[in-house]
Amino acid sequence: MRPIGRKPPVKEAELHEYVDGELDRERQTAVEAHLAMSPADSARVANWRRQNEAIRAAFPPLDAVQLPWVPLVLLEHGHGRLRQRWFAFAVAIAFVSGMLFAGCAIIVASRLSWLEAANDSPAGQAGESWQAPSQVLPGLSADGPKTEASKKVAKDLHL
Amino acid sequence: MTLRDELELRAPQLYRFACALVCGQAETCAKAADLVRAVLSAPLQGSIGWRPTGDSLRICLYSRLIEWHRHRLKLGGLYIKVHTDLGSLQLAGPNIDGSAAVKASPQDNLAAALLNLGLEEREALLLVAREGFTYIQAARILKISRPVLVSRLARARAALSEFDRLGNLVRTAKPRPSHIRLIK
Repeated sequence: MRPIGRKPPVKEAELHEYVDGELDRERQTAVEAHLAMSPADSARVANWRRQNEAIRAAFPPLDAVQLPWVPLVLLEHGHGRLRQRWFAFAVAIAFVSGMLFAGCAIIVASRLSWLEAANDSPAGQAGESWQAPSQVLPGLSADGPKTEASKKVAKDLHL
Repeated sequence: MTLRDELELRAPQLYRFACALVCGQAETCAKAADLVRAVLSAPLQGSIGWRPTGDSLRICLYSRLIEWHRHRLKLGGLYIKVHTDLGSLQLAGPNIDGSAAVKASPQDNLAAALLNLGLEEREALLLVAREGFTYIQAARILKISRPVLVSRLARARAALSEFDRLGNLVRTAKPRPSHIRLIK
């Protein structure tokens, strides 16, 4: 367990953060104190700094770079194409939504009209919902099956 | 500032980074130009009405460039292996026959050292050391966590130090005499 008041030891990751200016003031002071005590780590940090400087120096400032042809017209065209794609997508979504809404409206309207028609009929008014076999299967009558086909159906249905 | 203005401002920075990443050099690099062109030609992705600006745009462009570079490396369309570029560089040290020492420029040595790094390490090092991104930004570009970025940086720096040490050894070595002698 670390004694109260003593700062945590400096890790290697913090040395990298120190080189790249990523440490807060408190840890920076701690790392500087550590580097003063450790010549090996101090040399490593100095080496990393040299590497950073060499990398920065190896690449010239922006105005000295020979910029190749960059097709900004193409770029704008690309963004226009994206906008067109979004527009097409929005139109497609609107069309599908409209179709779905229309379909639902038609189904609801037909159901309502069917219910109204059922209520208006004498059977509906009497509250009858049962339908006679002759209404379901033509050829079946209350007296019994008349045709061969209706006889077969009646046999299958155990009527 | 319009998108075009912003991209015109960012394009040279992107190109410079691409040169360092692909060729390890700041000189004109056709592969890097091709990469930048491909990145800038593709529309920016984003939700409706959202367009990256400022730092977001910068991060978005670098992230895309790195993705494209990796993708092309995987496909082998641009080049089969980055390390093949090492052969074209004039490195320090004596010739094969030991007759004369080759003088390498510091840029060539640095280019060779950068190309000698693994791709992940090179990306991390260039983003932080060259482009000046913070660790958080670089981690976002590379789509990794901050500790992973730090470990890649550590590996890159260790490899550069090792390369530099070996390079110095080669540079200070005396040219060996050739064992093939002409006997009259």
